[in-house]
Amino acid sequence: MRRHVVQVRVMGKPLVGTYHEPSLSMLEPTRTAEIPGVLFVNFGQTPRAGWGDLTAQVATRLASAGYPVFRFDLPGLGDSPGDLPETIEAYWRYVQEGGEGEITAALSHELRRRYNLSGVILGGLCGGAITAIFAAAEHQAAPPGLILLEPVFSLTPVDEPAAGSGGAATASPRGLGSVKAMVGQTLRNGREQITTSARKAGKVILPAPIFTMAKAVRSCVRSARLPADANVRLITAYRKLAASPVPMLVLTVTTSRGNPFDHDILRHAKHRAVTWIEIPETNHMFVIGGGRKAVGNHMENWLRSRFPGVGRPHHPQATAPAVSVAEEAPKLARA
Amino acid sequence: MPSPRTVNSSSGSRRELEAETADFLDVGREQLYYVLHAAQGSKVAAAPRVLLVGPFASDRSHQYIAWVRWARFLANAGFEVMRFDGRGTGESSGQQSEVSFSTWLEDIEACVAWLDQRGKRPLTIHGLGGAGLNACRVFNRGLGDALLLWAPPESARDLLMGLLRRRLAADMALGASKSGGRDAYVAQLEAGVSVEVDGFEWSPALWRESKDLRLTLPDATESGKARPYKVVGMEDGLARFYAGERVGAPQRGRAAAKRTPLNPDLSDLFSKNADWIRESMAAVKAEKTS
Repeated sequence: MRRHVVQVRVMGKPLVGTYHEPSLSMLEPTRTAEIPGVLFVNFGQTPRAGWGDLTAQVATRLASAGYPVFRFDLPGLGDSPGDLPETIEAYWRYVQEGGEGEITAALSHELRRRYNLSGVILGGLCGGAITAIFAAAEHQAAPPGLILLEPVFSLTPVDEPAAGSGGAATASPRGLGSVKAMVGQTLRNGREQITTSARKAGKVILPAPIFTMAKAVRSCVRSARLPADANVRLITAYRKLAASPVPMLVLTVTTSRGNPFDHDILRHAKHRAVTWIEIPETNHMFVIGGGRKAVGNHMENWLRSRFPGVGRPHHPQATAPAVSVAEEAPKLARA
Repeated sequence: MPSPRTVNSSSGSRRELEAETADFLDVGREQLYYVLHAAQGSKVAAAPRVLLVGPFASDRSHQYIAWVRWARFLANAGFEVMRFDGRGTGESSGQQSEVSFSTWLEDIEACVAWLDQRGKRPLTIHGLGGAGLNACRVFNRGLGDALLLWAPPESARDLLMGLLRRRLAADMALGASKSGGRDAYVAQLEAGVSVEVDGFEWSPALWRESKDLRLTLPDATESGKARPYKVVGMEDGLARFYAGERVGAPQRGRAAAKRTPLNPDLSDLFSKNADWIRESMAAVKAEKTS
């Protein structure tokens, strides 16, 4: 497959990208207009090849499977001209507040028009995932699908207020972190009281009574609050998309390695067409422990299952992942 | 729509994208990505050139912003600038597990040949970090008229052993006690097995070639003598270039905000080094016309 440099002007801004021309040898000529493209935007502040060239490698993989793939640098990043803030944190905050959503949506429309695609699936890691969500939820990008790697639902603290609306919800009344942390702490407190009492009495330590645990959970759920740094706008956008018919692939590290709050948001959203896969033994950038290969495997398999139309056979399934089951989420109250 | 407070514009004099040409060269079976920055100013037709070599593979993702800004600064200062990604890295095609120092040496030679086809002009070869080892090698073979090195390592083995620490740090973060430590990875590489370090798969050839690849400054070579070169270290203002931490995941919680440099003011570093290149090119030109 060949790569091509693509230069476009979107919203008056010049953007540079790479187009991975798909292997079309197996594709029926009459079906080219049915194939969606895939657009990856920058993973945070890294250039479009991604940390450890992950995006470039995944794009090559997907193109070999027959999908047109684009990787673009947003203004100021990679090869695209533009200005940037002084700190990484300020840039992240800009992304987290939706700063790159509009231009990404506009870019996807331009690529769809220029390459006569049936649609453009939006994807990214971390900041790229956030941008994909905003582009789809707030700027009518109308993607036929979304690929979200390690979306982060918290706001990065900055030492100066960023322009535009923030996203923080009310502070937790107990000053604790995520909902899960609150539940966990309550259970631990209860268990500690029971075991201490039992030990003093010389009795065998039994598991905490079921009614005690249930009471603790009910208490936490009733009074649960979003933490002060919750990106409410993003959470709202994600939940809206997750409840829509738009197919979404969400890839994260496992709960034990990831951020509990992010996983809580994913777990408690109503998922209509969401495939959430936790990849074990890797990190946030998926660059160790076989994360890179797993990401490629899952993306390709998901695309083939959701957007068939190419003739090549599936690749073998990766190691069985943990897949979340969509459930009705308990309502998180806000003060 | 929120907009970040912007500083240190990366577009220099706000030139349009048309002043930069991004494309691929065919090198072997692969596509070598390059960007050519057209010289700005009144004497562009004979503008001296700078070939930017680097960053080293796994450093690319967090040094790229500053490196591109440097390229644009030089172009605004009247130089024609070419930068590229070695095969198997960045935008260039190729398998990471198949490339090595000798592959990247060939890539530099391919770029120099391509530039020469466009008309020979005085050329400065500029190596960044680990890529400086190969920049020095091609210069000692007679390519280029001046050599600029920023923070080159003493040897390729020193470079790789330093980078291996990142793998160990990642293992510790994962709690992977079964990794066996640095010696185990070295044994793996010695046995001809690839090792993934910081997202980049080291080929056995990369490891093997690193054994004998040392920094040989031009003074020690016949072809290097009498051609200007300069080595810039951290104490010379380069520290700000490397100031951006390798930050991969956003900070969370209510901790005090960090301020990790993304776009620091490098004007002093850039000006001084551009001046050196200009003076060197003038001296080369004078030498050739005398």
